[in-house]
Amino acid sequence: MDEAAFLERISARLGRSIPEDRPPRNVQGAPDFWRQRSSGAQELILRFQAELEKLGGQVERFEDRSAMLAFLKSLLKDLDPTRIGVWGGNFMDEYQLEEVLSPYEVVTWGNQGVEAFQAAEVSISGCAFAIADTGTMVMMSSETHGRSVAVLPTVHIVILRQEQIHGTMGEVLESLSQMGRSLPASVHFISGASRSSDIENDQTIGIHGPARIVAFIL
Amino acid sequence: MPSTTNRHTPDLLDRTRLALQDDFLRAAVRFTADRLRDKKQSSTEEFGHWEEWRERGRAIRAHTINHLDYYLKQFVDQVRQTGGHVHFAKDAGEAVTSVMQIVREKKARSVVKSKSMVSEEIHINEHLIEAGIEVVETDLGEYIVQLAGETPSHIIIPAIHKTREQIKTLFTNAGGEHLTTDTKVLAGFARKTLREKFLKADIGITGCNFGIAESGTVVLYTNEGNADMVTNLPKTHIVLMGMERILPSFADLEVFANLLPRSATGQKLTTYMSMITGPRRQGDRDGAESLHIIILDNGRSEQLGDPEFQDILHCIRCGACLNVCPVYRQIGGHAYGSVYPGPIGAVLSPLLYQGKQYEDLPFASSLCGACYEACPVKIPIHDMLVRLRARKVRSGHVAKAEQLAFRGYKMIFSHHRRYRLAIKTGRVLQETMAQNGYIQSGFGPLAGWTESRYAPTLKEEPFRDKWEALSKTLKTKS
Repeated sequence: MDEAAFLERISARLGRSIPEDRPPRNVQGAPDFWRQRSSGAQELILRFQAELEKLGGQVERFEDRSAMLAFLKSLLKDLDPTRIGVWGGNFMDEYQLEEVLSPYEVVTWGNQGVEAFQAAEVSISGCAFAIADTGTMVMMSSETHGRSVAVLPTVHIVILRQEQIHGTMGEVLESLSQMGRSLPASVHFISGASRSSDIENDQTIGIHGPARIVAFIL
Repeated sequence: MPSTTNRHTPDLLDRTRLALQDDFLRAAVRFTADRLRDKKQSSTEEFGHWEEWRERGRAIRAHTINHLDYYLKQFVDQVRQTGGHVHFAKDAGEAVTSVMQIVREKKARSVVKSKSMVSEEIHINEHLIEAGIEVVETDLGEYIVQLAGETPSHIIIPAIHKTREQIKTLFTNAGGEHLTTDTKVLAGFARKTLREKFLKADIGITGCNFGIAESGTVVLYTNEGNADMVTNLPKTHIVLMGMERILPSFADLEVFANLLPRSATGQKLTTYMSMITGPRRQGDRDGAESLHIIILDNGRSEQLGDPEFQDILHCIRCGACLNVCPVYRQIGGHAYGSVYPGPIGAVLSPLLYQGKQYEDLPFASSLCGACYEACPVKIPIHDMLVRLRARKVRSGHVAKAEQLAFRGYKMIFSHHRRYRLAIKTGRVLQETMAQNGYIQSGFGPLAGWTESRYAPTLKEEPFRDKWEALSKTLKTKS
């Protein structure tokens, strides 16, 4: 069916022609009481941590980068992956990951893609935003930040800075709305590990995406 | 024990009888429905202000549907600006034609799908398989149902009716070796098998939970992450979307991101909420290179402008009404015989497909109103069920005996003398059948009632006779 006929049918059923102007609205988005909530930075970190832990995620907080790198080193030793997939661009440099990752085969997104990351057991990335209310981390796709980095490997480690943590999803959605045409093709909200209860209601983790999520807060 | 319920059994009562004989099915449906209902209850209580959120949800959906022409056009314009293609389908046939055309253009041989009720509505799998295309459902529950050659029995938990023994057998037949009935083992087989399917698929097909008009964004909710595999890995992504699935803005999405997961599974938020805005950008190394959005009418526009039924387009397909429905809990999804089961199916199916096919469904309800109370956007489903029953009567598709019975009922109950005479006669007649205040087995029209429960007898002294004495007592007291 062609577009005009399809839309005209809707208008006709509604008893008018297609409006040219944006319809006036009394009600948009979340209720006022919800939007007026506010929290201090420390409270947001604690809430994010509590919520993500409820979902089975692991949260580690660090005073500085060297403490984080020391922890990462021992975590990777436990996980013992053969290949690690990492965001491309300046991500490795930003957190000086090179030395800690040197014992492993490292693939970076942009230089490599899906085929290389399919065989990576662990991935390390940053995120665009985090949401305290729901323990959520938000990924935005780009040339160096592939979507698959957060989905293909079995363990996903996310490094985030505390100022990236917002209280509600609404704050993040407002930022997306303001991006207009520069909104990336994929914005991906992750709250915990991949899960399913489809077999006799017995919850199992890691069904398609990662089975373990670790958030590092700097 | 295999499920004996078959959606293709023609008669609602026959399907219901089959479902009621299947003890495993009934126990499983009740267990899951209770679990989802209780989780919803506790998560909405914890959240607080639930009625305020519901009212917000209702108001936003009502505004959107009242201006669907404006917002749908805005959505479509935005999708095109990001490089996506849009197709319009007035019915299932046109939607199938659009899909098959894309499949041919891309010379596709395999398709992976994430859960989509619209894809069930247009039966796209059958058409793809007929054309020699491999189709794989990738939601774990849908995959199980597909291997069994069945259809989903719940909107949210499609394989609600399958035991782990049955799943093990299905997976073994699909090539699994040394499987046990352990959930981890079974899930591990599915992960490995489906991962290979994702990587080699030519086309990914998804539904659309919400389309954001301001940006042309498609929003998908999953817990497994399969929708992300489906949208990230194949070169072509087809979105099948009901035309009413629009929200005006990202700000509105916050309300529904709070309402939908809580109502569906009692989660604060599903594990993944994925937003797709157009095909992959220049330089991106994953995500579909071409994005096609197929927008389906299929009887939806018929509800617009109808004051009795327009609100049905507010539905966000959460399944909360199924979990609280006393009828769904007894008979499960397949007995409804339509793509959409439960209270929402009993309204939606006869509306989308007018005629005799589904007009019995509104009678599979006790009109208790639990569906309305559970609905996150306050659709008055119980009122619509009554209106659809009336519509069936008006259409004349009612048995002669029933028509006669109700004509008699109207005649007797519309005049007090006739009513008193009938009750007196009844009191005499019942003496042969009554035991301890109940009639255990009746005959004639009464047998329909006493087949499955006792009927209370008419009282010795009717209320009308008591009234004179009662009213005097009341007067002296006041």
